[in-house]
Amino acid sequence: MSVFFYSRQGTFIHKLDPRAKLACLLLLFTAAAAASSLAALCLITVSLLLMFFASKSLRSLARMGPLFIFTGLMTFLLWMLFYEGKDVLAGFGPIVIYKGAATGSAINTLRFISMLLSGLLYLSVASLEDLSDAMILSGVPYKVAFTVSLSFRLVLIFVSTGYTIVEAQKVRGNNAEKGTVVKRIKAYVPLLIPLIINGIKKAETLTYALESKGFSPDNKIDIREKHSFKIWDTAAILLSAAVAACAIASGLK
Amino acid sequence: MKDIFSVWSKTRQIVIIAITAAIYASTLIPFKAIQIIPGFVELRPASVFPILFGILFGPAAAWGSAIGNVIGDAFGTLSLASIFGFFGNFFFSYTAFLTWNAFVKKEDVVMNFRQVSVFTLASLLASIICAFIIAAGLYMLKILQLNVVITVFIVIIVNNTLMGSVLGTILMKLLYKRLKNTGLTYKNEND
Repeated sequence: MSVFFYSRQGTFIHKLDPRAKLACLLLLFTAAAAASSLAALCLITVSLLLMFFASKSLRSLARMGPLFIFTGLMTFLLWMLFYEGKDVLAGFGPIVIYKGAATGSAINTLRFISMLLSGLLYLSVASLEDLSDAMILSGVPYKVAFTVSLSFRLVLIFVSTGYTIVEAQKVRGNNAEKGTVVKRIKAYVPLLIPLIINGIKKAETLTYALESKGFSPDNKIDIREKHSFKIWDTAAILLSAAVAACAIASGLK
Repeated sequence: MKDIFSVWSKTRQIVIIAITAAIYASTLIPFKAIQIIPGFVELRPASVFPILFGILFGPAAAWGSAIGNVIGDAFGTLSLASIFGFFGNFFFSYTAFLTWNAFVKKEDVVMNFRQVSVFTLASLLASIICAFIIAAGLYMLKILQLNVVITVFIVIIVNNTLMGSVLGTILMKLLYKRLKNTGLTYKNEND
């Protein structure tokens, strides 16, 4: 099972230009951060959930759902406890709940959750190639886009190596999940050393491999012909921009 | 400061950025965090990498830590706060590198009492900078209340300092010679 969320689908959201996907993500982040009314944030959250449905990405939502619900509950609880208003609604010893705490907490919780949903939606519809191409087409130097892309690819190798090391050490009786905090911290040493050595070996061979294949940090590649901006891409950006503008306007009132 | 950007002009440094990012991000999943208070306070072994690699590999590791943190967020928690995570982790690693280099210049790394103290100081200063950037981000984005943000600030400092100084000094002592022989460390690159 991949640790990432992208799955190849033929939906119109998947078919958007990589630049459009990235621009929509940034605009949705802006909308979530700027919105300050409960109605606006509910609308953004519901729209995002509908987009998960439209992009056939409900599996990603199911995978992250429990974590998001837990995060949402904790955020709501913390805001409720520390919200400071003018009029006291109820008091339980040192804990004082003010009037408007529930609404304020809901607004801030939905703001964070809609940001997380926007991020998850992007991860579900944009492939690694999309991210790399969007960066290059947006003017990010090729060497930076290449490094980010290479890092993502290496993560899959290191995660697999990490699991193997953890299992191998468990068989040898080294369990980092038991004992006092100091014991557990020390138990991580035999887990991390093979991973670091493995990484360093890879760094040595990878440098030669890249150079032998003609890679240079000064290389430039032209991928403009690979992607073309269509009317749907413009429409998606305009729609996201309208949502962000409405959210900002709602925040100004 | 010039060295921050000059790393992007060498293939070997670019590979170190990618390897640092990948190791940092990939340890977030299989190497589970030690829960102190479930859901609130946890010790993440991955926190050792920005400090250890920052000291060993310099600015390349700072870029790697920043990118690695964003990749870590790509496991499902990508949000606007990831931008603050990017800068927080960059300066987490870079501050450790600057502090170590300010005190340990051309002497051999043997991790004696003085070097362990410098390593701990580097972990503490780096953790404070990182915690400040991330806590400021959480407050600016109105994700958490000020009182909670202050708690988060303290938790990040304790977590990163503890993991960095305890795990970091052990790993540094065990791995330094081997890594130095590969010629990949910052000192080797600049000799």
